[in-house]
Amino acid sequence: MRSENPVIVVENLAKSYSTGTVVALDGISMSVDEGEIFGLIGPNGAGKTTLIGCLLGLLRPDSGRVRIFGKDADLLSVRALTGYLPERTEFEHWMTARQFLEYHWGLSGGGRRGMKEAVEEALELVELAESARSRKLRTYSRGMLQRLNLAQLVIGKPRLALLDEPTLGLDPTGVAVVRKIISRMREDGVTAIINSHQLDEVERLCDRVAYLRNGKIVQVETIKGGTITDYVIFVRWGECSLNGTLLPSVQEAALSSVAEVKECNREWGRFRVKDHSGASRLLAELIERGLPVEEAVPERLRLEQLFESEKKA
Amino acid sequence: MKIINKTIVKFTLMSACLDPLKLLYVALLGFVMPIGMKIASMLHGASDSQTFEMLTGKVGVAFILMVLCLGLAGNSSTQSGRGGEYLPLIFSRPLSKAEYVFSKWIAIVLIGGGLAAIQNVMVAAIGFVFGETITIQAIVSMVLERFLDAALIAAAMLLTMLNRHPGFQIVAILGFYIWLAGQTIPPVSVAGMASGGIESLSIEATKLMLSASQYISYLILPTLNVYDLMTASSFAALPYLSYASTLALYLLLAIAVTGRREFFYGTK
Repeated sequence: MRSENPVIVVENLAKSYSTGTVVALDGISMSVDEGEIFGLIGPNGAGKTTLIGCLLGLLRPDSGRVRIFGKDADLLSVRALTGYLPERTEFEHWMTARQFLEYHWGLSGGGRRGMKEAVEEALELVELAESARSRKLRTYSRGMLQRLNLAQLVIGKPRLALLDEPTLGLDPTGVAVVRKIISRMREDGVTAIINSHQLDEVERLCDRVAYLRNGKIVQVETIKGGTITDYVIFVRWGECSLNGTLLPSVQEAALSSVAEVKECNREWGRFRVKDHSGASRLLAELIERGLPVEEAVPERLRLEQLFESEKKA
Repeated sequence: MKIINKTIVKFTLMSACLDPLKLLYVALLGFVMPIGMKIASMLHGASDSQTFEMLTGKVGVAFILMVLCLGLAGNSSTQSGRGGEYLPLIFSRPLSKAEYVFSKWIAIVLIGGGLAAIQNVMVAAIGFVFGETITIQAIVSMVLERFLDAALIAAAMLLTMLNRHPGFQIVAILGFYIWLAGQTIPPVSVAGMASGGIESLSIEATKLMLSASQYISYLILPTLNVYDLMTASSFAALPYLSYASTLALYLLLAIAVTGRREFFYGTK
């Protein structure tokens, strides 16, 4: 548990389809803090979209529990605080962009008062051309529809946003709009879950990322400045007099610096550290315990490597 | 707890009027034909035909709703067509399943009842111009009856649209056709006596089918004859009970199947 009052708490969530023959989620547990931008990555069929469905309260889990803002996910009071960007939105092609957003403004509980301002603000945010706003949606390109999809996400000013493939079908300027929206959400303290196959965008936008496979969370990585902060550091040391006590000394050093020993032998070791200061602490502890450290090289992880290591496995 | 969502009602009403071909069909079947028939019968001093009675009664309401409103609730948010990919987004909003069902029902009742009531009033006005005696009570009864017809048919349609079970859909379609047969087979065609043989068998079979469809009709779409009930010397509770219980059953079942169904992408 990272925070005392996380916005999302998922405990042992399981969900299967076709009367149990297809397991989509297999005992997922996670929590997301207020204001955190949390990414979901993983191969197709890993269970990411199903997880979003359960977070929205639209899918009923077979077992386990989802709490959003401390309440059950399917309560209307929770939905009033939640925005959702589906991957495959079908639009009412007879509507105009303004009508579409007025519709969603009404559904999100907004009255006539403030509707026009909210609609125009959302359209401005997604940078949809003024000339297109009163046109029927049947004339829209895929990218324009995705911008409108983003506009409906922000129309009710949600405190929790669930985005399923937000950059799908967008050109580079559209992708920039997604970044702007996420950045504004971050400023406003909105919590967001982003499910995406665009790993570079996930790295850029998210604070933490969960890698899912076969309905399970395999790994959760913390990201800062576009790279995973939890990383592996390779440390080489020279011949030392710690023959019998090498491993215990290394383990003590790791324990003191909150690092994890991944591999250790006579001349080198690999450690998982939280961040740069964790790495510095580890090196200081190793030197203090008599290891003549000669070299320390960080092995930076990128999200793609999660998939690559998966393939190797 | 909110029961009706004005946004759903408003946009459902808007989406029902989109297709010009459907509107043309409703204009022809709902207005041009019955008005033409009324004028013709008035000019020639003939009584109203059974087709006319059908088009200005419950069958007329059913035709209007079948054309304009089929698919307005189950497949997408407001309009039929491109798959069921819209409802998850709608239900991700603070909108209960009951609110959705009631809002859709109100919109469909307004469309069917409103159009049929306008048609009935126009027909009555034509009769009045040609010298027929029309009372205010009769007009109010007609209008009320059309809305009551629409309320029941709309509830049955909603249940069929929201329930995705293929078996139920088949039963619903069969039920509708049997009901339609009961409403449309002219009694005169089975009134005649036959000498025997194949002709007699045919007449008996038709009679059986007609009475079966009438029983089914009473069961699935019981009618409230408002004028008769208003002018009756004694109060009869059974027709009201029969109508109200069927309506309540359809609406509750529609809410139940919507509540039970998982609206999300890719779930089968």
